[in-house]
Order: sequence, then structure tokens, then C-alpha cells
Amino acid sequence: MNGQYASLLIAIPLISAFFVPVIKAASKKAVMPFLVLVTAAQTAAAAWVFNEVYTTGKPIIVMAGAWRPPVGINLYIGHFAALFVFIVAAVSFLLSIYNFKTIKIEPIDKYAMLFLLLMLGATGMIATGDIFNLFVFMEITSITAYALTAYNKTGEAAEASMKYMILGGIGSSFFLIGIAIVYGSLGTLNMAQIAQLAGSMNATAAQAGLALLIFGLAVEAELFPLNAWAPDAYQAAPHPVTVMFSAFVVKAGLYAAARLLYIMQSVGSWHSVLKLVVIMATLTVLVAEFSALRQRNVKRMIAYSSISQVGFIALALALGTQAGVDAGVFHMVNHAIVKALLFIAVGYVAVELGGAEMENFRGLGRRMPITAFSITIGSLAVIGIPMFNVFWSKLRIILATVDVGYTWAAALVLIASVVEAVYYLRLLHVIWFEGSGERITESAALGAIMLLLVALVIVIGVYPDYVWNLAQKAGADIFNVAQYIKNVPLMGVGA
Amino acid sequence: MINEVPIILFVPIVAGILAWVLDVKGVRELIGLAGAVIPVAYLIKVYPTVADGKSITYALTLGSFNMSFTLNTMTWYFAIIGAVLGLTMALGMVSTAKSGYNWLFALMSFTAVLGVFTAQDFVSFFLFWELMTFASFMMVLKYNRHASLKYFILSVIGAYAMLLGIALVYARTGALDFATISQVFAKDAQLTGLSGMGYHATLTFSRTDMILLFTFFLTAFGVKAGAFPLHVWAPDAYSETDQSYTTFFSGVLSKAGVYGIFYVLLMMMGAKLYFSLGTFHGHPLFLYIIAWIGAITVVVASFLAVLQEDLRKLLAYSSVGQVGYILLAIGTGTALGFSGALFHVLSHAIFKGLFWLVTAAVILRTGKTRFEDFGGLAEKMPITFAMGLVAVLSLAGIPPMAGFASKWLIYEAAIQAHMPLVAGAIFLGSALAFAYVVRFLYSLWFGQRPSDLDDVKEAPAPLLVGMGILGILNIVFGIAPGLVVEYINKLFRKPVITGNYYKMITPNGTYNALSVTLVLIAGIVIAGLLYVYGARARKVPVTDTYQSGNPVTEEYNLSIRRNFYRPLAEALDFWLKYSWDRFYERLGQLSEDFADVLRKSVYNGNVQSYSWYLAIVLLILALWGVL
Repeated sequence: MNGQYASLLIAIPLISAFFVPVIKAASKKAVMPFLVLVTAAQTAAAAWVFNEVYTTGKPIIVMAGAWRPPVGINLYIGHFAALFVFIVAAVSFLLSIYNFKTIKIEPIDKYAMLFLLLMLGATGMIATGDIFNLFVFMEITSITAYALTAYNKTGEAAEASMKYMILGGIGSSFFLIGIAIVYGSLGTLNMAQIAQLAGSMNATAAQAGLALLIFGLAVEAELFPLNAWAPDAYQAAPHPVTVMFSAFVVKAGLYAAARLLYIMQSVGSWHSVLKLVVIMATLTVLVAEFSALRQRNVKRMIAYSSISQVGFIALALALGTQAGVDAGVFHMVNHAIVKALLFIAVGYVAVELGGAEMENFRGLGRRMPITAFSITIGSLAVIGIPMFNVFWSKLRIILATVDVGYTWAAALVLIASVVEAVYYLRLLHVIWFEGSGERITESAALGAIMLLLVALVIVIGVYPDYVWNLAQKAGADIFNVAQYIKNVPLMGVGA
Repeated sequence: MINEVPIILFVPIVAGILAWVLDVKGVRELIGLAGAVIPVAYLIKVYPTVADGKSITYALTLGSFNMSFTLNTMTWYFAIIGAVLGLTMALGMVSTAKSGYNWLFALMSFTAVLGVFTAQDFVSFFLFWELMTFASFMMVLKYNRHASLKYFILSVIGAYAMLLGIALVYARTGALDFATISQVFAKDAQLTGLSGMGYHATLTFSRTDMILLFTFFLTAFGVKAGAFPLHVWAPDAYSETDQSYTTFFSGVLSKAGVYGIFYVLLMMMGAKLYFSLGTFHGHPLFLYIIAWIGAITVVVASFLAVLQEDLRKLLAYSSVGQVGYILLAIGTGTALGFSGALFHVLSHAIFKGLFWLVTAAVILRTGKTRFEDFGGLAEKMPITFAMGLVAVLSLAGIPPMAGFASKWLIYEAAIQAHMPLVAGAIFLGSALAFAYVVRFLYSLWFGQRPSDLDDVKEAPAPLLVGMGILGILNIVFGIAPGLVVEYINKLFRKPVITGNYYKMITPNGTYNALSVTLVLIAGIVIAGLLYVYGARARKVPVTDTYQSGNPVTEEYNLSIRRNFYRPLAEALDFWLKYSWDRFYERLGQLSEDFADVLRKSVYNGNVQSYSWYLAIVLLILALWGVL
């Protein structure tokens, strides 16, 4: 099949989003099943692309309107994008089933549209090969994210959305200025060409451009102290949306930051920027873990934990070595699985028991055994217990960090990990050894989803080789910029 | 190729998972027992191979890490101790464990400990180390949240310190397997020695690196071994769990720390540490530190053991103290000291394991843990009592028990190493050990029996079998210490201690266990004859035994079962005011408060301050010169 079909990854959610009102006009009950259908189609397309990229070992370059880059906009679906577009689609598919249980507030058609657009935005951010196109997808992602944060129509949701919007807005404005500076200096928006020409850029413009691009993305990537919007937004958003935030929206931001960071590595201030990101990432982990320590709301607690894990990933990506990037990508995959599991389970408890307060988790082990079991496995995995997936990626990250000489950063994030263990284990004690209550019949579909994710956590934990190989290839895709440039058929301009 | 090693390693955890999944009474006990017997059987099967100096290796690749596990002369020694204790634990658990949960995590820690002992690279070592911590933590979590969290936090701090150490070694050498790393350290030690003599050499590890590595690994292993001042988790964790499991927990898991110190700090980087850190009074500095940590642990833990009013706490502190002996022996830095340490690893495991099984039996049958509630159980549980007596004699270091043989070696080593203060600590610790075992002996088994203990029955059969195994081992290795010594000599590839099965000869002295035993038996026979034919017995009410003419008042009611050592506690008043336990609790409290302050000030909910954060980052970018 022709690789250009990969553009379906953008087309399917975009067109379907426009069709939602039509479906609603036909039958309101059909909206949610329609989402299942669309995400299933998207997953199938993503699986095909994934298979194509990993079997041929070559990236798929989609050229919009058959204009060759750098004149036209291209999608670059390399090893990283193929892997993560698949994760985005698969998680969305699981969430489209989860929606049935968790989304009761009207207007459901608006929700469905926004849901698809959020998926689209994240997919686009990961797949694009053009920096302005990246900005467009980032705006699609963040604007739908603002709207979805406020979807529950409570005062808190509105406030959280407002905060998110203000900070996200500031971030993306500076990002846009960064793009403008780069474009003004190089006259190109194509990322491969930027990578090619970065060394010849005016030094001041390059420094300012790189700093502003990273600054803008750091807001989306939840780096301290630019992540203040995140806990509120995670807590207030509908449960499936929280899962999306944690599983892939933030990853898209992280990926974009890493991609831009590495394609501009010939910029003079590159090492200083890396160092700054390492410091910010370390602080992200520390502050978020300590903030979670006495949190009484479990959803918010896991939100803090998610932020801290993102800090781990950012730390790994900013090490500037192949080992670091591989470890970071591996942690991204593991984190997507584990946090999806945890947020789905906690959201389900909140729906069944009327809130995610710690009190509701008393005796959960007897009341909702499957959900409680899932939370247990998820928590143990996050702490980094061996035989669960996160153990391997944390180990890789620490080895890579000390290898570069950042022993202090490794020590600090490990201290934070101790704190993390404390609050998760307290939660487990509350779930299994305190309180009691009546047994609640758990939904079979959600049980299946959670157990599927639990199985992934354990399988990767016991046999990490397969996913580690994927992560290595995906990491090389980000790290090996020369190959990236070679893969994009630039029309011989500039080079 | 499948050889014995993976079977030994993974059978317990598989059995644990099966027992947990099936969770049918009767079935889970059988599976669990099978899971504990098989490793012992296979370990015995490979004995001829390892005793020959050959090794059996099992390698696998996981997550592109090459892992390997080896049974050789060294690892087999630790593995068989672990496995035998694991078997007796399983026997005890048949009687005391009430759920599949206990079986799962007990057998998981069984696998994990064997993994730690046999691992030949840092990844599998760390992996099994974490698994061991986690499994034992789950065993405590079920019984007490506070105790388990204290244990887990300290263990994880230790584990992460180790991880930093591993990462540092990896950063410098690029290797994770023990063989390569040992070579690098050995070579680097030579170079360090040369550069100390004025030659110029580029070193792989600087002095700072070695100080860091020593600190990291000592913290990691010190936590597990329960070394002062990282011992505070042990008394709580050892008491707040299934007591059959404590057999394994205190008998074997603490040895993982000892094994780490022995293998990583001594065998792997010992020479390098010696050259990098130098000497203190002619003694390698790093060993000096280990010796003193051991000595302080012995003294502090023994004093605290004496003052306990709870049976489990007493044994827990005593366990901490006994591991201190092992550290101290390693710290002497002589082959004799290492032999003593290795022997004491064995004897501590078997006598402390026996103690905990006895405790498990007593608690199972009476449901009580405090000394004041016990009394006169010797009549009701005669076999358990006999086993308790063996354990007491062995712990107190009375010949002809295994405990005497190993302690004797440690004394010899301390004297030989010219460490009089450290030797003093051993003597003080021994005296205190007498003080607390007397309490265990008298208040549980003799004296007046409270009326609610009148229908106590003898311990159930599986527990008795477990106790029997350990009791016999205590006596056998006591009378024939040469059995152990012969094996330990193989580790050093030269006879450190000569003699035969019954006789140990060191440069300083000779201990003939057989003649001591014979004299002892003769003495007992003579005393028995005198008792039967000579003595005129007078019946005394049990209440008369302690008072010695002093009036007993309610405010100052000291009996062997209650506040027996209160005068000692009052004398130590000044020292008892300072407690590491309370210090850590305060520290924990402070960090929780700090967490609150941090959260409230950083995530204060005010979007204006959040916007300021953005401005500040921009400012930093500008000031840093990257904008």
C-alpha cells in the first residue's frame, strides 16, 4: 500500500469530528458508539502504519498536496511517531468505551467532537515535520484541552480551565515568537531543513529562538514551575480527558520539545538549555512528589504523581545522550500504560462512589476487587517494584543520568521517589486493610480494559525486551538528527 | 540450558503464586511446602559440585541486560542457609499462615533472597534486592502500616543509595557484571598503590568516587543488616508480622546485607577501598568503620533488648545485636575474622530462626506476647521448651552449641586484630545477652502459670518439625564445628582454621567441642546423681523466688515478668532520652510539614502568581544568556 495513506491518521478524526452533529441529528444515542467506531478505525490505521514503519525500518513521509518539502508541509512518521500515534489511538479507543460509564453531562455531541479533536491534535503534534504545522496542532490540542477541562461545568472546572488557558496562552505566544525568529533567520519552517541549517543561523537569533521554543513547549510538557495549571486541570477534567492528558497530550508536548531540542543541537547555547531543562525537570519531580504527599483527593494525588513522572521523562530526554533518550522514550510508553490504568480505575471509583476522596477508597479491596487490584498493580508499578514495567525504565534513566555526570539530579529524583512510595503505599493500605462496605458489581467492559492494562504492565515487567527494542528505535529516531535530515526528501534547497 | 539454578531460584515464587491463586486450605500449604523443599533438595544435590570448587551458572538476557546467577562455593553457603531457613519457615507457616497472601509474599522473598545471593551482576542483584524488600514489606503491611512504612522507607533509601552506587560504577566502568567490575577494581587498586608510591597513573575511580561508593553501599547493606543507626525499622518490622515468617526475615534477609558488605565492599572493592581511603592506626579505615558500626550495634541493641517487655521486641533487638557481631567480625579484616563472620552467619540464622519458631508456637498457642502474661509453659509445651532452651544456649554462646563456636572465633579474631575496645563491646554484648535470655527462659517457661494458660497445648506437628531441624543443626554444628570450618576453609582456598571435626585450632587457641561436650555431659550426670541421691528438696512457693526479702509494692513491682530491668533503665535514663527512632519520626514529620508548605506556596491556586512563574523562567533564560 502507498505510504501516503498514513494521512488517514489526520483525516479520520478530523472528518469524523465534523460528522458528529450529523450523527447527533440522526440519533443522539449513536454519538458514543460512533466514537468507538472512529477510534477503532484510527487504531487500525495506526497499527498498519506502525507495522509498516517497523517492518521496513524506514519512516513514512506524507507530503500534503504532493508538494515536496520544504515548500509543502510534510508529515514525518518515523519510529517514534509510529509508536506514539498507535498509543494515542489505542488509548483513545479504550477511552471511547470508558466514556459510556463516565460521561453523563450534556452536550455529549460537543464532548465527542472535542474528544476527537484532542486525539487529532496530539497525533498531529507527534507526526508533523513542519514547525508551524506543529504550532497549529499544538493550538488544536490546547484549545480543545481548555474546553474539555471546563466540560464538567462546575466552578472548579471553569477556574481550572481559565488558569490553563492563561498559562497555555502565554506559552504558545512565546512559542510562536520563537518560530518567527527561526523563520526570520532561516527562511524555512521545515524541521529537517532547520536541522540542516541550524549551525549556520545567526547566533543570537538561534539562541533566542531555541530558548523561546523550549519555553513555550515546557508549559505543555508540565515542567516546573510552568506546570501550575496541571493539577487543577487534571482534577477538574472529566475522567477520560484526564487519562488523555496524562497518557498522551503531555507526551506530545515532551516529544515536540525533545525533537526541537535535538534538531537545534548545533546552536551555541544548546548545552546551557539542556542544563536548564535538567534542573527544571529535577525540580518538577521533587516539587510534584512532595505536593502529592498529603493529598486527600486521590485523583489529584495521581495527577501530581503523573507530573513528577513527566519530570523523569524530561530529565532523561534532556541528558543529550542516546542512552538518555532511549530511556526517556521507554518511560513514556510505560508511563502511558500505567497512568492510563490508574486514572481509569480511580475515575471509575469516583463515578461509582461519588468522588475520588481518600475516604471513598476505604475497603475498596472488598467493594470493587478488580478495580482495587488494578490500582494496586498500577501503584506498585509506579513506585518501581521489580517485575513491573516502570522498574526497567527508571533503572535505565538513573543509569543514564549518572553516566552523564548528573549524580545530584539522580539523587534528588530518587529522594522524590521515596516520597512517592510513601503516598502510594498509604493508599494501598487504605484500600486493602481499612474499612469495609458492600460489594459493588463492576462493569465487565471496564474490568476487561483495566485487566488488559494490568497484563501489559506485568508482561513488560517480566519481559521488557520487545518494548525496549521499540523504545531504542524510537529514541534513535529523535537522537539521530543526521538520519532525520537524510530521510526527508528536501528539494535540494539550501544544502 | 536448564540447570539446577533456575529451578532453585524460581520454584518458590511459582509455588507462592499458585498458593495465592488457588488459596484452598490444605492445597496451598502443600504447594507452599513443596516450593520450599525443592530448592533445599536441589541445593543438596549440587553440593558435590560446588564443594569441588566448580560452579553452576545460569544466564539470561532481560531488557538487553545480561543477567547471570551462579552457585559456587561462596554463594552456595549463603543459599543453603537461606533455603534451610526457608524450609523451616514454610513448616511454621503451615501452622500459622491463615491466607494465600502470606504464602505468596513469604515465598516471593524466598526467591528474592536466593536471587540476591546468586546474582553475578548488579542488575539482577538490584532487581532481586528490591523484590526482597517489597515482598517482606507486604508481609508487614498486612499487620501494621506504621511499622511497614518505616521499614519500606529506610529500605528504599538504602536501595536507592545502592542504585546510585551501581550507576556510578557503571558510569566509570561501563560494565554491570561482577567479574568485569572486580577486575577493574583490582587493577585500579594496583594503580592506586603505585601512584601512592610516586608513580603517575590515571585512575578509573578517584578518591571521592570511592568515598561516595563506600557511603552508598554501606548505607544500602547497613539498612538491610539492621546496622546502627539504620536499625530502627527492625524491632517493629520483626514483631509486626507472621512470626513464622520472621524466622526467615530475621534469619536470612538481614544476611543479605551482610552478604552485600562481604561480597561488594570486601571482595569486589576491598583492595581499592584500602588504597584509596588509607589506614587508621594501621587498620584499613573502611574496615575500621565497619567494625565500629558493628560494635555499637551490638552494645546499643543488646541494651535495648534487655529493657523490652514484649517477647517479640526482645528477640528483634537481640537479632539486630547479633548481626552487629557479624559486621564486627568482618571489620577485623583478617581471614580469621571473615571465617568467624561466615560461621556466625550460619549460627545466627539457625539459633535466631529457632527462637522465632518457638515464639511463633508460643504466640499461636497462647495469643500473648508480653512477658507479664506468660509463665510456667514448660510443662504444657515440653518439646517447644526444649527447643527454646537449645536456642537460648546457642545465642548466649554456651558450648556445645553452634553459637559458641562462631562467637569464639570472633573473640579470637578481635584479639588477634588488636582491637581491644571492639573486643570489649563483644564481651559487654555477651553479658547483656545473658541478661535478656534469662528473661526469655524464666518468664515464659518457669514460675507461676497464669490461670488462663492452663489449657495450652503443645505446638502443632509441622512447627515442631521445623524446630527440630534447627535444633539438631544447632547441636550438630556445635559439637562438630569442623563441618562448617572445613567448608569455610574452601572459600579462602587455604586452611585458616585447622583442626578436625571436633576441634578448631586458630593461631591463638584451641577449642575442642567434643571434650567440652563430654565434660559437660559428665557434669550434668554428676549433678543429676547428686540431685537424686543427695539433695534435700524443700518446697517453695513460686512467689518467693525473687523478692529476696524486699517488700513488693504496687508502684515498684519488679518481677522477672515485669519491669525486671527497670533499675537498669533508670540508670540509663540519660542515654535513653536520645533515640534514633524518634529522630527519624521527627524527620518524617518535618518533611511532611515541608511538603504541605511547599504545596501551599507553590501551587497556591492564584493564576497571577502562576503567570509570574513564567515571567521568572523567562528572566532566568535571559540572565543565563540563552535568550
